[in-house]
Amino acid sequence: VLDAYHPMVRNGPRGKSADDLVEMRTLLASRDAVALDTAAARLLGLDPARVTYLRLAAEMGLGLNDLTQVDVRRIALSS
Amino acid sequence: MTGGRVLRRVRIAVAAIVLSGLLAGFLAGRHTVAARSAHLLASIQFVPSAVALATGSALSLGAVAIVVLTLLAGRVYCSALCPLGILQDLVHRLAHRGRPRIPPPRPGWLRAVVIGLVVAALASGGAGIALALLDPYSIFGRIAGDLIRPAVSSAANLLAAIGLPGLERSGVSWTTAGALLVSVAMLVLVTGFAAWRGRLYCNTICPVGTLLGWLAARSAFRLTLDRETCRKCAACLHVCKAGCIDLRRGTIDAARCVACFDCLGVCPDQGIRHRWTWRRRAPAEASSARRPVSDPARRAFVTRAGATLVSLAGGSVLLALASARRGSHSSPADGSRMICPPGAGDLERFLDRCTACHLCIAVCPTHVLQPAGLDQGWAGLTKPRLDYRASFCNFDCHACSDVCPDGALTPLTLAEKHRTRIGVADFTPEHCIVQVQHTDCAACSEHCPTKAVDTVPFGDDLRLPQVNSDLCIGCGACEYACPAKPEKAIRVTGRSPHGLAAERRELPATDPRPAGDFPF
Repeated sequence: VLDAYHPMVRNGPRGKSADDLVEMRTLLASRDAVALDTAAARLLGLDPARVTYLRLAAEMGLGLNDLTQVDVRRIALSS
Repeated sequence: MTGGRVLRRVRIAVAAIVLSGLLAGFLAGRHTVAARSAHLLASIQFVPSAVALATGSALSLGAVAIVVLTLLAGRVYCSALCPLGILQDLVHRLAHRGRPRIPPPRPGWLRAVVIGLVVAALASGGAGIALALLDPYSIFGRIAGDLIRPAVSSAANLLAAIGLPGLERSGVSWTTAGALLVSVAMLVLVTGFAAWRGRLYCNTICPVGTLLGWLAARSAFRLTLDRETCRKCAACLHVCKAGCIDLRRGTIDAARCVACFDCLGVCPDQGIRHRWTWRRRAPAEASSARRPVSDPARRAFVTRAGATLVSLAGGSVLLALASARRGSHSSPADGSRMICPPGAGDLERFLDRCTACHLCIAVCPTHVLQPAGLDQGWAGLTKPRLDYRASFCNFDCHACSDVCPDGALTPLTLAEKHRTRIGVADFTPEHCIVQVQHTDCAACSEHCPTKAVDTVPFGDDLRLPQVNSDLCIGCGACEYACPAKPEKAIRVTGRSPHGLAAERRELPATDPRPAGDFPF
């Protein structure tokens, strides 16, 4: 389970102020931790191919770092 | 129950509240309620309150109230409010269960020497040293914070280790060796005296005891022996821990009486009672006025005056030496590793006002506050400073300035604390593992709360730290995090006076998601 309600997008990992956070109101859940982090990288506007640990994890067989092979579903809660 | 017994019970109840409230702060100061209660009780203590009032840092009327109280009813402070006095009563009680007490001797010269040293210190600008070493509340604080707290957590850990439920193991933090030595020495001295002769310490060494004793000798209400009802059974003599009752002459020495009212509790005949003594000459004084010139009291006075003068002179020389030493130690070449807590203002001001009670050290959540040894000269001895080998200063915390009873630390709001520059970080690339070992790091930048430490591209794929000293507040997060050995690549040097760091305002961050809010 990955909490992306208020991700920090700069000055990390400590952050300087609440201005370093954005409100995303998103929660990711998966049984594949590598796929989960790959999706999170996309949410943060990063190219998963440039996130080294995702590639290494996929090579070690811990999960998939290619979201085209993953069944991604969205559950939107209206507010 | 007679009035005297009630007074004694009230005294014990007040003392119990004071002792437990202060101990709570020193033993569990990270809990807000404990810290608040200790701060409140510390602020009404004589010396902290007098320092705060005299320096104008707070309208602290505790000392004034104690002076008035003493002029009214004697040294009530010494038994009901002074935590060191209360501690001595406990020790004395444990050491003397059931045994009759012996009246302590009266080394008047020692009292004169100590008060002379204190006056000399106040006059020669060495107030910080004298107050720190001799304020009874601060001595208690150091004993509680430096010795009792680690002992209690060690004991709790031991009990947890043998499987007592409900206890968690916690880290035990002993303070630095130099300061620990001072605390141990005072503990041995004070408890030794207390076990041996009751309030001997209060009546020979303690300058607050001497001052209040001098006032108490002029107090309005005081305990007197009633010649009609007293049968000289000596029950009071056996419980008196100040040794101030003279049955033969039928007098009670108000200067030495610590107003514990134990005598009232044991007197079977109501032979001791409070009497209004203003504008009425005490019988002893009246008789001594008629004595010839060669009277021992006068000789004692001359000896005492002589001792005071000698110690005044000696003390001035010692303190001049100490301050010269301090001067050489706070030179900028030293890089000033005496990094004062936020709110201290500047080093000299801080060292003059701090009585080294260690309440701030007890409430510091990261244990970055550690007492100095002699590395800053005598003036810095046992006073708190930030030690970045031990930890770093939590950005969102201002607990130390909140609890300071002396006004040595001005209370800061969180917003003020966020910008208060107590030091500045210096980066030495020659020690940095990014440059030396060509490895990824930037731990300093990651931990920097103000982003004064940023990184710039270095080589192909690395980033090297860079300090923007305008933004740096000197919290030491970078230094503590730096993995470089043996020399840290980033080190904070203290600033005196403290300054204000610039603030780099940034616009609120924007959502980094590419087009659409669900990029899969």
